[in-house]
Amino acid sequence: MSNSQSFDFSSLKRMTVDNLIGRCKQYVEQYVSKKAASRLEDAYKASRFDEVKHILEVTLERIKTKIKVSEYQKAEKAVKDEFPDAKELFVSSDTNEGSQNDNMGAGSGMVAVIVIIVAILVVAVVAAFLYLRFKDRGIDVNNQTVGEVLSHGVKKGNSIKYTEKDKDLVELLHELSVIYDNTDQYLNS
Amino acid sequence: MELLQPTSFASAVASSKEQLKRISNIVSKYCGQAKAESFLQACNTLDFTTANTILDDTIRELTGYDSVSIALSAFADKFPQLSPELSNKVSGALSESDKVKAIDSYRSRIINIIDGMC
Repeated sequence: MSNSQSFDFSSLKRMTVDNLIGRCKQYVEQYVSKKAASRLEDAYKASRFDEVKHILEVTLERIKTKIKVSEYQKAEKAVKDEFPDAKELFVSSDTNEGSQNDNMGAGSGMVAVIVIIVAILVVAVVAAFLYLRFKDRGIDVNNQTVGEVLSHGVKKGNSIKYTEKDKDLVELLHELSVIYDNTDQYLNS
Repeated sequence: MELLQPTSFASAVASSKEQLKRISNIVSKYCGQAKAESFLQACNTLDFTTANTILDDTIRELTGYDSVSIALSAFADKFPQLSPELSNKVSGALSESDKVKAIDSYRSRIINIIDGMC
């Protein structure tokens, strides 16, 4: 049985982001401090999602040091299977994919409570990450469910506005790319 | 952040004067002439820390994001017409320079989309 099957993501996806952050607040209080939990709430209410993301990441780090590596990896695998965006959060442990897989599929189908907590926190971090992407684009993600936000929350047909800044960014990136190529040629000549 | 790499900065400066000048024009437009001059001066004195900081500032002005890495991922997401290839390439890139290259490989298509919808 795969971990994504044994973890009920469907109920998590139906939660609103408000409820998800409420759940996370408990874990922040449990693994970091009451003060951090209070900061999480304040940051979320003020739409400071970069701070929300940071506090959740710190909490995950704390949990990581307190649980078995295999338990953390179970959560990691489950979330990665379900939400490709979460891959960005696991770059450092991708190199252990082989040993990680050795630990998979041996469970009884019951996911440990800690795995669920980690999964919820990771999903919340991803949600905060996506909020950060959306907030400057005039896309309203308030009142959306976790599933909607994680599936990018953007309905087809939502028009994205492009500005001169976008074009200038493309030019800036192009010049940087040419510099990288020139440098390679220069160093190889 | 290090859009320009410290190990190859001198080579980059030596081989890419025109590109650095064009970048300074964009810096000037969004961060002011003084910063653009500081950028060129930093390149000439091989002060890659200052040069990278000014590039970070410029990308922040252009995108609204503090993190260059997030800014580039967010920019890739602005083109659902190119999804999921572009987004996957950018999110899968390990370094900022690789993210830059990934976006630049779609340059003409991105410009066409922007020109068609501006």
